[in-house]
Amino acid sequence: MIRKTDFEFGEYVATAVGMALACSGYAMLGQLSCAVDAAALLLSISVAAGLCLVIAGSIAELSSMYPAAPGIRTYLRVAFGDWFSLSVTFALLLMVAAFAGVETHAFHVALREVIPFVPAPVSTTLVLALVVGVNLAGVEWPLRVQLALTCFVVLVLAVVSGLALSIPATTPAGLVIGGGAPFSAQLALAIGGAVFLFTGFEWVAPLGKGPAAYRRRIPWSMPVALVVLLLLFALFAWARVRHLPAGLTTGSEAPHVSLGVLTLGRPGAYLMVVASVLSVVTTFNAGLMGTSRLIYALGREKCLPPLAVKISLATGAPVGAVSIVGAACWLAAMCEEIFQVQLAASLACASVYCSVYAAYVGANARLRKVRPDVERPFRSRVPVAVQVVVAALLFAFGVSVLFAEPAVAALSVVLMVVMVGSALVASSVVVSTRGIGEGRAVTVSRSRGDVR
Amino acid sequence: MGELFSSLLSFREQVNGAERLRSLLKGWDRVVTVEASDTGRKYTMLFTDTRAGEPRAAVAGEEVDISLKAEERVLIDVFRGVQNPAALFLEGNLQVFASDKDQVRLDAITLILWD
Repeated sequence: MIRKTDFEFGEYVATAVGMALACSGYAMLGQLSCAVDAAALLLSISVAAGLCLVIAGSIAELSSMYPAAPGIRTYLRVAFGDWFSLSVTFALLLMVAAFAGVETHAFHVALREVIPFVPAPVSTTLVLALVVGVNLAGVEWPLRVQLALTCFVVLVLAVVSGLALSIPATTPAGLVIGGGAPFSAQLALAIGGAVFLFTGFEWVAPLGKGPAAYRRRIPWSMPVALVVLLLLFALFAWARVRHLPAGLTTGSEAPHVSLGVLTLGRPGAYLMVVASVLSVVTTFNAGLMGTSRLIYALGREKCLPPLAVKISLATGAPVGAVSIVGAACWLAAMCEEIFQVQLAASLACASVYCSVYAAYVGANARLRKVRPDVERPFRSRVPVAVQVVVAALLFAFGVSVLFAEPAVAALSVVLMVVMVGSALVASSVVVSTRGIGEGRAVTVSRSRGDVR
Repeated sequence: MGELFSSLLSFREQVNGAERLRSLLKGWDRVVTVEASDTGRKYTMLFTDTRAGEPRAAVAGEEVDISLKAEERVLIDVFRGVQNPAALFLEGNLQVFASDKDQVRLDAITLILWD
């Protein structure tokens, strides 16, 4: 007999999968397939999935300790203090804005396969306007619809990849990939980018419907989702390497469309563009909701200006936070389009996200030590020592991924430093001014003789 | 019934007396439970027709839309406007199980009442 909780578990798994499936992921796979050889690519995806399983265990334990909390802000705050938590949160928000440019660019590349005359700024603005408009209006997509769309995208990718594997390979014989670099070097470069493929799965953690969800359903939804994603990406990557273009950069940004055309002809291109539209809309919609929620929370903490907590009395939508996120994403997308820095931005985003993941794992390891008494309905099976090693590895891969594409390595480093540096400065300003503000409030309160 | 119940009654009075909330609560019919994690006390409040209903003891197995859970002292402070629920939520001292939209709307109620 199928129970209601079985559906709930399926919802969590599908949500985690949907959050990770993005056009930029396909583009990243395309780039990696042209940068490292097949063995390194497939192994890097597997290693990345393994790392993400450890990450998932840590996040699951953290979320069971602080159910439904706004993830990163809460976990890092209790583990490492306010300033560190704020710094990483701000870095994540800046990364989300940069990621929007990467994602809309990847979407545009796929779209132009069927509609070549649409300029990138137009497709970018339309996609963002649609998602932001829906959120400003307070319209909520039915969960079952979102999940059905995710299942459709997974099915389409799996079927096209399977079909591509069934036809003879077209990769030119003797094609050298990876510039002859040692296998270990290729692997080190690729793992950080491969981790990027899975990013987003953890956004399911705050979505538990009740305390009971954090004992098993939420914790186990993430590893199940990761297995689904691993199989999907491995299948896709395998199909991709069997059909690499002779000019390695050709079609690297929309490999899913290339495979669609190869297997199903023109209808395949349309099908993969539909999959791209669904990927970008569902990812953006979920990402916008989650990010605006974080911004609203920061606004309530007075870490951001009052605009961040502006809500619509008619719909209850956090219009201030949604507008901030929408505007930041659009600006970042336009800047990346003007300067054509999407590749560097994607590598910088991957780098920041690896560090964010390292922070999650590190936070869980630290809380095992400093707060052993807090109830943990779910406990990661990974020993603390291993978690510490994984955190260090993630940070290292986050640095190495910046050099995955030598032509843009310097720019990737600059973008990453700008994101992290801005976050550090912003958090320092907030913490110092908030401290001054609280001091003044106490002074005023005492002078008034207020009880509160 | 205890101090938590009194604080919920007080909260209900404030919500129903705040005309600014009428627009916010229009069309927002929700069942909200409030549970004290240390004492086990659990109450339910209905929001219907832009008003908050009288709190009552929660019924086991009842379907709810929003669930709040924290230590009783924290809940009392939240519903009396003494502590910022958003800050407590961020610190992990107040658990709120609800859709994103309902979480924001619930917080907006306290924002309008006490900020």
